[in-house]
Parts: sequence; C-alpha cells; structure tokens
Amino acid sequence: MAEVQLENVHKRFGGVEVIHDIDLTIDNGEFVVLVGPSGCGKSTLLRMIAGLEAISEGSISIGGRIVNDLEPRERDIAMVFQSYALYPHMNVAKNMGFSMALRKEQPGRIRQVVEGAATSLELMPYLDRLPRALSGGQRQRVAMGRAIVRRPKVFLFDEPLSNLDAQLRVQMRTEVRKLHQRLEATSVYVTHDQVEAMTMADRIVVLDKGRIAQAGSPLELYDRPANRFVAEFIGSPAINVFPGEVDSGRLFLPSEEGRIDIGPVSAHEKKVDMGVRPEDLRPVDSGGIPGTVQVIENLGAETYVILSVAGRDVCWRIAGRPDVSVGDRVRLGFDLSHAHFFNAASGARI
Amino acid sequence: MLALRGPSKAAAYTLLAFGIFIIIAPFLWVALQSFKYQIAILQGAWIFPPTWFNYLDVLYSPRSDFPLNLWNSIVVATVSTVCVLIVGTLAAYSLSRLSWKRWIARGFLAWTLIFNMIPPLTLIGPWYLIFREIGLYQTLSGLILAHITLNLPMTIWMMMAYFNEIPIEIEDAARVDGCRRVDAFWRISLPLVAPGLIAAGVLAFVFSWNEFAVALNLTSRATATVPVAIARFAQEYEIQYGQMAAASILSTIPALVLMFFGQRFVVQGLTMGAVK
Repeated sequence: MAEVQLENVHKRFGGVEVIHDIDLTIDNGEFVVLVGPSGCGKSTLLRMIAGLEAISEGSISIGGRIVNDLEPRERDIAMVFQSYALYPHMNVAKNMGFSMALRKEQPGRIRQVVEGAATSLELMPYLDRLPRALSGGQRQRVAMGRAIVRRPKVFLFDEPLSNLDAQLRVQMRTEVRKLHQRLEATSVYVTHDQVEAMTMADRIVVLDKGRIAQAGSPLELYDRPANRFVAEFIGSPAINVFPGEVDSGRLFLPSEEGRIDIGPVSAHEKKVDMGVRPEDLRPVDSGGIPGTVQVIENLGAETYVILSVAGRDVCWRIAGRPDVSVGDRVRLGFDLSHAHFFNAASGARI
Repeated sequence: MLALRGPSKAAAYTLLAFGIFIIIAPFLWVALQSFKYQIAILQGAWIFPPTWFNYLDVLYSPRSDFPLNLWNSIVVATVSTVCVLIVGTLAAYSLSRLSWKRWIARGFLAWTLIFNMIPPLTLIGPWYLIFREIGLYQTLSGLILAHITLNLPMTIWMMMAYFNEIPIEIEDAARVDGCRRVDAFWRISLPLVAPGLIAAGVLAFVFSWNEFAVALNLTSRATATVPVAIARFAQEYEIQYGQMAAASILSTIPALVLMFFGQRFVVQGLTMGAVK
C-alpha cells in the first residue's frame, strides 16, 4: 500500500496541453475513480502514474518517492487494461505468473501464488488455456489475477469493464470492489461510466478537459455538484437543467404558459441555470412547471417519464408504475431546497 | 464464401486448370529435359530412354563447379536472410513502436519504397566500383551485402505490418509487469511476430537464392551462385541443355521445401493489414 501524490502535473502533446495543473492526493488504501467524458485526459493521467506516458511538468510520487523518471517496472504498480492485454502466446498460469518469473522467483513459489489468485478468481480450471480459448469475462479475471500476483503498492485500472456485456459488467464491478476490500491496496480506476464511478469509488475525481472539475465522495458529488458539468455528468438519468432569469431576487423560468415564478434565489447573476434531479420532481395540481408526456420508459421497479417542457426534454423519475400516459399534460413541482443553481455563463455553483 | 454451381463451377475449374498448367508446364518440360541425353533434347524426342547422366555430371563431374555454386548459394542466401531479418525486424520495431518524428518515419519508409522500385541493374555499376575499391568485388561478402540491401525494404514493410497488429497495451502490460523495453521486445513482441519472421525469411531466402543479375556481375567463377552457374552452361560454342535442366531442377529444391513449409505464413504476411 502507498499514497499516490500528484503535484502540479501537466501533460503536453506537442503544443497541445491535455492535462492542466493537476493536484491530487490518493490516500493509502483508497479507491479513487477518475471519471469524465472521452478525451478528458483520464487515461493519460493514469498512464502518467503508470510511467507509460512522460510527465511534461510537475511531479508524481508513490509511497513518498518521486517516480517521474522511473520506468513502469520500477514503480511497484500493477495495471489492468481495457483490452485485457494478456500475452497471447502464454497460457493463463504463465500470464499470471509473468511478473514473478521476471523477478526470477522459484517456480514452486510462483505456482503457489498463481494458484492462490486463480482460486479466488475461480480460474483454476483454465490455468493451462491460452487467452484465445477464454471468454471476455474470464480474460478480464486473468488480467486481474495478473495484477494480484504482482502484489503491487498501487493498482491501476484503465476502463477494465468497458468491453464486457452489461450483465457481466455489473458482476465484475462487485468483484473488483471485493478484491479491493480484501487486498486493501491503493487503487486508481478510470472509467467514463458514472454508474461504475458512483458504485465503486471511495472518492470520485471528475475530469473535464484535463482539469479536475470536482473531487469528493460519490454522494458529495451527487448532492452538491461544484458546477453544471459535474451535475450533468454524475447521476443517471442526468439532472434536468432549466435556464432561467433572476429578477428582483426571484428566479423565473420560461414555459409554454409564460414566465413561471420559481421562488427566491440568492444569486447576483441575471442568467441562472437551475438543476433538478429527476427523482426530486413530483406532480402537483397547481403551480409547478407544465409539460407534456412524450415517452414512458418502464424499468419495472421505477419508471422514467420524459416530458417536453418549453421545447426541451425533462426526465421525471417515478418509483414504481406511472399513472400517466403519453400525451398527458402534467405539472411538475419540486422542493426548492433540492434544486441546484449555476451561473449560466461559467457553470459554477451559486 | 461464394459457392459455384453448374456451368460456373465447370468454367471456374477449367480456368483454374489452365492457370496451373501455364505455371507447371514449363517446369515439367525442364524436368523432362533433365532426364534426356543431349541428342534426344536436340531431336525434340518425346519418347526417350531416361538417364541420370545429367544429374551425375552436374554433381560429380571433376569439371563441374556446381556443388561449389550450390554451397555459395546456401551461404549467400542464409547469411543475407539472417542479416535482413535482424536488421529489418529491429528497424520495423523501431518505426512501429518508438516515437520518431513523423517526417523521419515517413521519409525512411518512402525511401525504402522508392529503393524497392529501382531496378537492381542500375545499382550494379555503383556497387561494382565500390566493391572493387574496398576489396569486396567477386567475394561472397560483397554479394551478401548487395542482397541484404535489395531485400531489406520488403522485410521492413512486412515486419512493420506484423508489429502494427500487436496492440501496444500488450507491451505496456509487460513493462508494468517488470520488463525493460528490450525485454518486452524479446519476450513478448518477438514471439508474437514469429509467423512474420518465417514469412519474411522465406521470401528473402527465395529472392536471394534466385537472384541472377547482381550475382552475375559481382561474382567470379569461385564465388558464383546457382543461377549464375546455370547460365554458364550456355557457352559460346556449346550449350549443355541436359546439365542446364538438371541444375535448374536441383536449384529449385531448397526454395520448394521452404515454400512448402512457409507458404501459409507467406500468404498471411503478404495480406497482413489488408483485411481486419
């Protein structure tokens, strides 16, 4: 186990800066998820921690030792790749024991450690198989087994579940989390899937265009997003954002019935975006925001009702079955204390 | 795959048979001549008493240099192939994996492509002058160098296609697991491009084995290779057709054996990257 510290880390490809001044400390044994849309720099950041990508500026330390100029093999890390990156010409046992073989450990000891990891990952029957004879889920487990056998200070995961089907992904999510709880190793996990981030992380770091948009526990990010980007990125279905105007300390939203007075807001800005989570909406008899039901998505335990409100889609999440139909006119209210307000220009939380 | 039926199938098989006939017939005709005495060849006889005379004469006659020529060809083809594979594989790995500036990598590859298009005959003059200056004219070393130069571009292109097919993450994983870059190349990438090495090796060997123009101009009687020796059966006052045919048949054996074992890899190598 070790602490990972990133200080003023920059990365430039030619003249293009893709990572801007990242400061981040990942504590001993913490499970941190780097999340963000494609191209936000999360994988580049992970590869910089791994030593597979050079750092343009700043420093990275693992366990108190600055590793900027160390080779990946000298950093005492293990990495699980999106494409699994198993060695196609080696069987499962050799794939898993490769790092130990490189350290010239005794074959008996290698076998013992590999079998220990294989047992915990239910891979014992496949030890003699080549990777091409395994299913996607089994390959993923071999990749994890290889990382376990390495016994590193830090585990790095680069979108390891992206190539799996939805059902297996949910199952493996739990497996990865269990693995972390058992090994208690510092882990950095990259994903673009915010559900993965929410369900697995001790702490989530949301990246936007190479900068940290917000770092915090999953519920902190969900309940108090620092900006509109985080609010929109965290949560599924996504938060509803209504553009509004502040007039004499009250927020007004446009609607098909003219301006609606939402209530008092403490904002100095003229243009304000209001965010309301789909589960915070509720039907009201009078007042509220009027909309027309467009689509109803039944998930069994819950239902997403998509309404058209002043020309934009709004998602309303209902626990259980809906009592509305497509085409119905509905008025939606919400508790103002559950709404989030952002500066329309900068996106910053008000 | 499209399944042919009825007349289409018959037409396809006829065309195929015709194609095979066009390729095989000259070879069979030469093979036939190799079992005839000179007189039967000159008479164009189809019915003749078969003889091993031409083979025995080519291989065991005191006046024949053919065993020496065969040895020269083996040395030249083997050494040049090994060198081409070592240099070509390292160059291809470097171009495929190391972060060269784009203009350097592209420029190098363009140069190899252009070099491959130049007829070898245009290079013989300069090579003759250079080798004579540095003492490599009429030596096996000189010919080996020339063959390495000729075969290198094709090898680099082929091996690059193989290296490009290996996901970079596999090498990254090896480096994280504890490999230096050179270990990752040796333990991971090289075993994975083994089919490419076989394919490129077979092609380089066969090209070197069959190469005539350069060998004719840069070798002496003592260092001549098999294609040169075969041509020398045609002298000013006598053409030894039988011996020529026997030597030709003998010369095809190593290439045929190699192609027999390596053809699967050669086809795969030449079409690498063509289809995903």
